[in-house]
Amino acid sequence: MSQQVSLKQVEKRMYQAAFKDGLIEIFIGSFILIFAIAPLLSTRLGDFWSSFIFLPFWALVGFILKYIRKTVVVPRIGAVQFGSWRKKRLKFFTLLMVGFNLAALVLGFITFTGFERIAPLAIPIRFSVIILAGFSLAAALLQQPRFYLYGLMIAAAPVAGEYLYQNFGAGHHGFPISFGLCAAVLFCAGAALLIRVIISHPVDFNPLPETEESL
Amino acid sequence: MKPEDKNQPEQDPVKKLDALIHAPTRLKLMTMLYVVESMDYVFLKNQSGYSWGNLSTHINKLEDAGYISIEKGYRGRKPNTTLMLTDEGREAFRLYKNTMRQILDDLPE
Repeated sequence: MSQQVSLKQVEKRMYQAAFKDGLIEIFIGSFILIFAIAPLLSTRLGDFWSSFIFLPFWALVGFILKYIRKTVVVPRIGAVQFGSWRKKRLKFFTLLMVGFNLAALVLGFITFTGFERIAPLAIPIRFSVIILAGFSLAAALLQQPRFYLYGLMIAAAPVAGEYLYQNFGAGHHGFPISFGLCAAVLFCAGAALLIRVIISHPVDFNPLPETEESL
Repeated sequence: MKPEDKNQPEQDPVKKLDALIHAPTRLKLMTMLYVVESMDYVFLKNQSGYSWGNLSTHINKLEDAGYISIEKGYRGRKPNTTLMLTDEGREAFRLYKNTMRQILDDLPE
């Protein structure tokens, strides 16, 4: 039993090491940015276009991060293919996230159509619960404990924004401030992790003459 | 147990241990390769903490035994070496694990 646990620990340690390059933080940060910037743009572009312009932005960020992973991260930390149970778990997680996004979409629809008359803080609290549940699931299923922290921080943003709006008159329900702050923290965390990888893992090409000969 | 077996000494489980895997460095490498599908040399070096020379020596021994396979290729324009356990290597490690468990379980507290 102890050997089984130990093998699992070895695999878990390697899995966590493979995703500590900060790129995922930068991607989540760019995703969160929509909640901070879209309300500001909506006065000029309207609700639809202010959100729609983020699609090419995310595609660009995704492309850049993929390029950084390929040219900066992988040559430094290496590449690994995990076993089938990891892949199954990732598929399950992806399906769950689709469910969460649909729930958020329905909630957003109800909110913007004014279908429901509820207390002002009830809407941000619902969003917070969905965000927290989503990030907690990500942390548990992907075995990345730092996602709990990110979940707590991002889940606090809608409630904090509403508080700023109601008590200090912050514009756009305080979202530009609260979500902007979250995005900034995530960008900084991602950049710090990436810089750490670059500094602690200099590019070291495989000098293996013996292996070369043996082939 | 048959009567004639009483005279024969029981096979020592320690002797069943695969000496090739039992060496600490190779045991670590085999363990790391056992829990994944494949990994490249850079990842193995970073995770194991061994030097290129040390890695090379032990990987060659495991490759000669048929326990691991090495694929040389390119990632972009740069050379890349991928390692994975062969079926034989996976089976040998499984056997080693079970034998080791048997030895340790038989020990008194």
